[in-house]
Amino acid sequence: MRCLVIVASLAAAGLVGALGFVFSGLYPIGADDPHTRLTFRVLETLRERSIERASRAIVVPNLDDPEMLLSGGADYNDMCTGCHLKPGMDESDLSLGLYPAPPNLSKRHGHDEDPEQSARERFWVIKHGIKASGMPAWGKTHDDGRIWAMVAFLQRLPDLTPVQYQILTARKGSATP
Amino acid sequence: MKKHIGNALVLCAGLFTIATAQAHDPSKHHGGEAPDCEAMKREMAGMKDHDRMDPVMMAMMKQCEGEHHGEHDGGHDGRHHDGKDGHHDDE
Repeated sequence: MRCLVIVASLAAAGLVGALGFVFSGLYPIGADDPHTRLTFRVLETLRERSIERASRAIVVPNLDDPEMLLSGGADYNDMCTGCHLKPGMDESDLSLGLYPAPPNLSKRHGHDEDPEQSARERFWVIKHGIKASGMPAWGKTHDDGRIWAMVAFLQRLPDLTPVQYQILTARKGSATP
Repeated sequence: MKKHIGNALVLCAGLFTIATAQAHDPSKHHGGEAPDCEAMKREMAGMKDHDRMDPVMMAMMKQCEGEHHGEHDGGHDGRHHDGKDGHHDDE
């Protein structure tokens, strides 16, 4: 019984301490002041595990359709390059200013090793967005077909040259080359 | 009077619906450059048939082919796959 009281007291003290910290305003919330390594690692793990679990049941369609690359490329160029960059572009105001920094999708990353899983997760992230990261939920305004087209384009993006990128992302009826 | 207010409300709702439906239409995206098809021709020169079957090369050829036709029919836009594709996504 005494042990239970001690545990309950410690839990209550911890809760009061945590609430006090939250309401004190002491936590530096500015995007130019990085999290501690531990906080960053915890939030990163939370994000990655959540995306992995939520996207597990998604069925990936055929992403080799050239028409999908054209549709997805034009949308990527209009909506994503400001943060996620493109071939020949190494940084932007948004890629430098956002925290956590948005991934440079024109470069290959380690988690691309399983293309199917990568496609599932990308579809889910584009559709649902990520809280407190600057990544919007495009599913509110874009249908699944259009999002899959962006995923198809993303799978090819790291291998594209600037010329290939320019041709694939141009919209029909655009002005001059 | 009430009828006029009702009609105005219906009209506003209709206009809002139309605006919402078109706001994310690809044809509403403006600007950008036309595809540099001359660069594609240079890139394809000397390329083997096998390499031309790559989805990226096929998409580029399709883009430039469409651009050529676009010169005659005034161009077109809005290419993308329709609505839901039958693949369930999550949950």
